[in-house]
Amino acid sequence: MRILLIEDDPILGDGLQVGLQQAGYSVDWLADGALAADALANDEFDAVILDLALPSRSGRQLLADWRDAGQTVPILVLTAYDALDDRIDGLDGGADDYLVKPVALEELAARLRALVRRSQGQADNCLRWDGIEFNRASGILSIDGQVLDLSAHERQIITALLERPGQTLTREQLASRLYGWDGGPESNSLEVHIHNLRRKLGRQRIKTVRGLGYRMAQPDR
Amino acid sequence: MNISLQTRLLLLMSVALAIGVLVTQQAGRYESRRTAAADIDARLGRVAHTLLLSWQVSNDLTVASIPALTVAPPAPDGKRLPVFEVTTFDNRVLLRSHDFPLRTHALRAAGPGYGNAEIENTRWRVFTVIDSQRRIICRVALNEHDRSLREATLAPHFDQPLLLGVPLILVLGWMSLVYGLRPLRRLSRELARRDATDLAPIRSVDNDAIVEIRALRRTLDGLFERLRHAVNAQRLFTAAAGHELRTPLAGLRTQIEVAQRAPDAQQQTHALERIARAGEHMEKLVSRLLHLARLDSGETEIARHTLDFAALVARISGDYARVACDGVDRPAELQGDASLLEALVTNLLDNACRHAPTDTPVEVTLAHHDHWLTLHVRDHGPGLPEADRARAFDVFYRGENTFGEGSGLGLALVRAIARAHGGHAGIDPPSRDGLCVTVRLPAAHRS
Repeated sequence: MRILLIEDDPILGDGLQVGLQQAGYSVDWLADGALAADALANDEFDAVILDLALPSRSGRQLLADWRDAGQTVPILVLTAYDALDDRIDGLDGGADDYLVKPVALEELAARLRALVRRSQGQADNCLRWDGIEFNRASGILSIDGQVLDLSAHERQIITALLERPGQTLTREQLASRLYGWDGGPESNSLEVHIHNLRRKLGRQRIKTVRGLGYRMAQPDR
Repeated sequence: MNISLQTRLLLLMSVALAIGVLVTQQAGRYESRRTAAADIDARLGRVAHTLLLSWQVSNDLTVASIPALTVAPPAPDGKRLPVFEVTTFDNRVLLRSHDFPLRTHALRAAGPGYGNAEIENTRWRVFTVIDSQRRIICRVALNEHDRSLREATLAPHFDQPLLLGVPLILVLGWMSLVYGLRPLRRLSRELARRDATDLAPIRSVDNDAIVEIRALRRTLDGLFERLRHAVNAQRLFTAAAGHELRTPLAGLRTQIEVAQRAPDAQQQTHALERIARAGEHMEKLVSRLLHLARLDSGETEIARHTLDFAALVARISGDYARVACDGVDRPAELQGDASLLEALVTNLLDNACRHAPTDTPVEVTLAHHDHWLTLHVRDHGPGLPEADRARAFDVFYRGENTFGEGSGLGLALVRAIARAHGGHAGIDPPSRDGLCVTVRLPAAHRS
């Protein structure tokens, strides 16, 4: 799951980025409101964590601009403003959730999962595709009831593929899911992860769309 | 002593009334005495002239021929008629009432006109008329007893209405007091019903016709207004302080969770380092808040030691690579609190560095003239829009273009410290680029 984090406090921003990465999310962090405005236009994120008090452009303004532009990405407002009116304004202004600082990383992660799940029209945390069941909360993947052991990166890739089963994801999309803007260690590391996933799931479950990317496929029986 | 306004007014009124009654009564006595005396004198005069007139009509009569006149009948209402005699110049009695005192010489000693005489411890009022043509003297007199009788009949006319009036005045007065003080009681009831946090203006309009109550209500409303402002300012400060502390607290908490879950030592060290920084940041924030709260309330008297402000500025500027100093090579002494002045300079420099891009210099100039030390701190950042200049020194105000951690307390603290030292802080009018903050502090007196 790829998250855009917009928070101007360096210590909190760093903590949220590292903490969410520990929980298996790919997190891109911006501290400036004006820079964040363009980030959503040019990149794909599963959810946004937005602080309201930002330099250059306030979080409220960003929220309003994004919603006016038709952005439907789930936005979680994380702020120090705790008054009831602030919460109501935030939610009415287009936020999907409103959390007051400080917040436990686990709760933040759970709320992000819930937001993404809802935005993808799923009832629970489980992604299912042709006998594969992946629980996003616990990170456990099973095929026909048999649990597989996956690395964090493999989990990211299979989540992305299972969220849009049948739809092709480009290598760039998958790489950004894995590493955000940091690029990642090597250009072929994605292929390594795909190779390992195929080994665990079965070769035919992840199909290579030549020149484009990858998609989930049903094995020939 | 606890005493109600009503009782107090009633007591004052009773005392005033008692004094009034006494004065009126005395005046009445005096008046009745005077009236009685005038009354009696008039009667004596009338009788004397009547006698002389009748004597004139019948001056050929002998004494013996008018014996009936010698006995005056008692007056019907117990009033006694005056005694009288008519004599010749050689004291031959021509006419005399039967009750005329036998020892006549005292009465005869009185000269013409009104006079007083005393016979056997009884005072007499006597009126003597001399008819020198016919050479006769007429004397008419009334004794003290009859006189005081007259006074006694007159006095009640003055006293009685007073005696009836006093209780009536007291009862009516008490009722008026109870009625008159009703608006005050109503106001007091309304104030008593108030919630401790209710600082809204007093509503009761029906009391407003009374000038004193209106004045009292306005005074109270004014007080409520000032209280409301103070409470609001306090509330805003507390709320803003809460906001400002929440973010570093959230950072601290998140980094602790990160450290707890860190898969390797490197990540843990990184998180612990951030935890230490968050702690420092919060410490700085809290100490600024406390400084501000103390300076604002005027609670603490600041220390006043003579110190070299130029050296202090130079020393602190040395910690900032971007800061260039001018005018700090000559000593500039002032009296003040070293730690507060350090906080002032540090906050100014922090503020300048935070608001300007990292590759631009910050210029510090210290000037000394006319008993004032003037410190300019100029950055080459985006500056402040005209509209925001007035708010720049407000607590928790943060500009739009800040880089990194700002608390919104720095300039507020700078101003508070400058004021505590008898100086002031302001923003120079815009010139070229950036922002120039100026602090003026009174220099030490040179002896």
